[in-house]
Amino acid sequence: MEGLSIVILAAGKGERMVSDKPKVMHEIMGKPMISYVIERAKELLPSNITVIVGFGKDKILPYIKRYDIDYRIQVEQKGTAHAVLCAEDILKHNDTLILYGDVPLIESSTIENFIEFYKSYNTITFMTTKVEDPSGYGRVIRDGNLIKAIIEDAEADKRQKRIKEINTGICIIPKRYFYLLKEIKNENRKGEYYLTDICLIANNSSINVMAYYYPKNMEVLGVNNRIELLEANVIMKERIIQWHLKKGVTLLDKNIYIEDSVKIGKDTIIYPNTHILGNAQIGRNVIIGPNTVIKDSFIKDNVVIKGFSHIEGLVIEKGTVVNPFTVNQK
Amino acid sequence: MCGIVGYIGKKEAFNILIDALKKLEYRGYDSAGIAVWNKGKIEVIRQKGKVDELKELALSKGIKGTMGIAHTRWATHGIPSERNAHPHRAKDIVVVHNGIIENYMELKQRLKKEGHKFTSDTDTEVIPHLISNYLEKGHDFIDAVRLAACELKGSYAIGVIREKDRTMIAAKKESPLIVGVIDGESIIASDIPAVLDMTNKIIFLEDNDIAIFNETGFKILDIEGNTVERTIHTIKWTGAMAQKGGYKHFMLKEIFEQPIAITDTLIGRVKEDKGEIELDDLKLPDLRKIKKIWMVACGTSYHACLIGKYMFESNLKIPVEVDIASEFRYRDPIINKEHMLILVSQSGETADTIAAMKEGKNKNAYVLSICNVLGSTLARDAHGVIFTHAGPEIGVASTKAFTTQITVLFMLMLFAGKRLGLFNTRQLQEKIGELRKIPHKIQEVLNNAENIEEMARKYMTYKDFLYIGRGINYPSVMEGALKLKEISYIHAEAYAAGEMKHGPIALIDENFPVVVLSPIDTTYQKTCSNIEEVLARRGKVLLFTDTTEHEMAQRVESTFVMPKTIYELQPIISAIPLQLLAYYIANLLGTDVDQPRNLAKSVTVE
Repeated sequence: MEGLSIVILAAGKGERMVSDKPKVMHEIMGKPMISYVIERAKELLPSNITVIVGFGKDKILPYIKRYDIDYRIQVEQKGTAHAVLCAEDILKHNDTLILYGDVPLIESSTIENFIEFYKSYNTITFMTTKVEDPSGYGRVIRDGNLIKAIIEDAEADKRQKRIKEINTGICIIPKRYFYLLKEIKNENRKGEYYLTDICLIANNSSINVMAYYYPKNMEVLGVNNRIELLEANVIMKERIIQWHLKKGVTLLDKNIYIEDSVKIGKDTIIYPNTHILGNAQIGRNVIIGPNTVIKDSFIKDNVVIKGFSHIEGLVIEKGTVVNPFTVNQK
Repeated sequence: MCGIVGYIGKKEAFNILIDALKKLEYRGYDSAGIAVWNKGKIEVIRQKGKVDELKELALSKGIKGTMGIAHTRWATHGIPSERNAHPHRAKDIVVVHNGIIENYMELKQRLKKEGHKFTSDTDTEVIPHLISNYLEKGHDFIDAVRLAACELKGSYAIGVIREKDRTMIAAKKESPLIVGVIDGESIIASDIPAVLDMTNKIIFLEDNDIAIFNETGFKILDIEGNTVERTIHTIKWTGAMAQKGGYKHFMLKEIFEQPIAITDTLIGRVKEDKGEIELDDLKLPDLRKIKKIWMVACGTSYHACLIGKYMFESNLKIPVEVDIASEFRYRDPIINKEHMLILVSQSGETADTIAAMKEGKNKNAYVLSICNVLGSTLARDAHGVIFTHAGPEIGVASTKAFTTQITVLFMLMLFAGKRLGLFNTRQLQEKIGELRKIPHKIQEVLNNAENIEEMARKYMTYKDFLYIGRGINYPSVMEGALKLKEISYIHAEAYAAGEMKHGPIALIDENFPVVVLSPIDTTYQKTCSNIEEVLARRGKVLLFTDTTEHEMAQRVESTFVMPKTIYELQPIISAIPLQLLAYYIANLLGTDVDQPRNLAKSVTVE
């Protein structure tokens, strides 16, 4: 998608994870959550992708090197608008789509539809959703399709706090309005530069801000604690299972755990309680399980791996029958 | 080889840097530069020529400040000129560098894509740009230097300063860098003599160290950013000793530098995994049309050519004629456009060799020079040039220039052989693999230098020596005999071993030591017979071989065993003990080893 820059915000600490790891490096189905966001961004073929890192950058930067994308460091965490402006030199030449390293469940089609919507209005556009308990989120003050303001939870009054439509943070800033980000002030209780304040500034200059409502809130909201991490993991696990079923793999139970980078050939049958992890590659017509773990291995066509086995870092040649209770660990 | 220095403290940096730089001129002197930090601004002055010329220019501009870096250059990438002189700058980052960055082309292309503009032909210029690139991404100064260092392949000792910070950062890998420790001040330099006027408390930085200096002192990090401790040594050398790196003579220092010199010759040029040789931007003519190769040179370089003949003819199957430049130029040699003329000279300014080049060009041959000095006449005027990258050679008796010349000839032979389709990838990989082992094997010989010194003590009083060898070992012994002659003033004569019985055998008696070079190769048995002949006449044999099981070893007076290598590379290994033998005999006799009577380093007259 020429003319589109994508920036992924990933500088936050994620206090509620209670962890020494930066939030976006917590794993979902075997991969740091930021990798899902980067992969979705790459699928859009934008002009460039920039990750904003800050807390734990020394853990994130070596990991994201494999994706061949740019990055900028936000030295002090002074709010989302400040984070985006760290990459001003790259972003100012294009329309900017802002994504988040801790929103791993977002799907390509969702982003594509959002961009389509943006293109028909061509102005600042935020993605919104609804939740039962909106506390902690920025409330969306609407005027039809337009957003009048987004009020951060800390700044909201009693009446505003009852609004259930909230801001996901995902938004597109057209190139011609990028300068508005620099007009955002930090005159609020936390002293931060909020991206959402662009709504007020735009409205004061008679620039429209559009709301794009997306109902599936689980997909577009961030993972902020270990409970949400577990929920995201369950959703991602289900998605991966659906994907393999569509590609012709037979699973005999839903209690089968297949990590995201695993590849499986068609007509393979997997018995319950089987875990396939890491960079495992499974051929066609393979039978695995039950209660078997396969990690970082290459299992060729027509292999039978009987139950209760643990296979790690092996290449198993075509047609081999692996006895039950075979244990191989590096 | 280049020299770098850096200073941060309370005194005027200019005087300290210039004085230190002058003591590093032995490392290079084709251009020089200085950068001084003053109240958030850095002024850079650089120019072609020696440090004294830089000093005058800088004085006329009135450069001031208490932090700075400086450089004296010995060109490896890009001719000596102001444009290519250090320090190099990108935005507010200024860098001096000693070493060779192997992956600079790759880095340069990437940075160009990101909008960086380059102004020189050097490998160094990528370093300030790379650091600047990391600063743009938001890294702090220390982190930016560290991450840039992680990306550099090859060798480097660098000094970095920045306008925004009153901080100097140094980093090193495979090029020397030391820190002089003074209370409230710090000085860094490529070598000890540069700092001895200020302090004798020295830290030797280790590979992958990053040292950070500011007002409050300094700290040293490893490449991952963890703090590391380094011992402070107290040096007891005098200034003159230090300039020779603690060696008694430049010649001895240069003999011991050969592992590094050859490594520098190979850097960026041999790709063992791919079986490829890259000789800078060398564009050879269509080799299938070359009917004959001439190799022309003087002195030690002539011996390198003779070795080249054995390598080229046996592998490329193209006839090679070797000639002495002063003979070649006056005998109207039969040359035409189907010939290639290879000229070999350390300085690139040897008068007779330059005349030979003109002769070849007039007769339309393709002319290729092999020399050590960038920007020299032979480098400029030949159709193609390959540099030996040995670094400055100060001892008049050539040592590291010779072994790097053989290294270049070997690389050229592989390069040509690949072009002609004579080697497959596996063969090339094997030969390159052997070549890469040469520096270690030389080091093994050097580790046993004491044995040669003992040998020298035993034979120093003799008045005449005969040196014999066969095949590719024959030019090796010619060079060995020349070394002994030129620095010890002892008469020494080299002969092809098989020719001995046609004359010199008449001289042999118990007062006539015979140096025999006899590794295991196709002529091994023949050379054994020659040793028998010498022993039968009570001659004293000094045997140099590559096997502990040499069948004559028990019967000869002295034996020295060298590491094994392939036939074509044997002369590089054999050169080392013969250089050491000559050196130790001369040193024991007390001659002026670095400047022997009647000889000049570069013979620029007929």
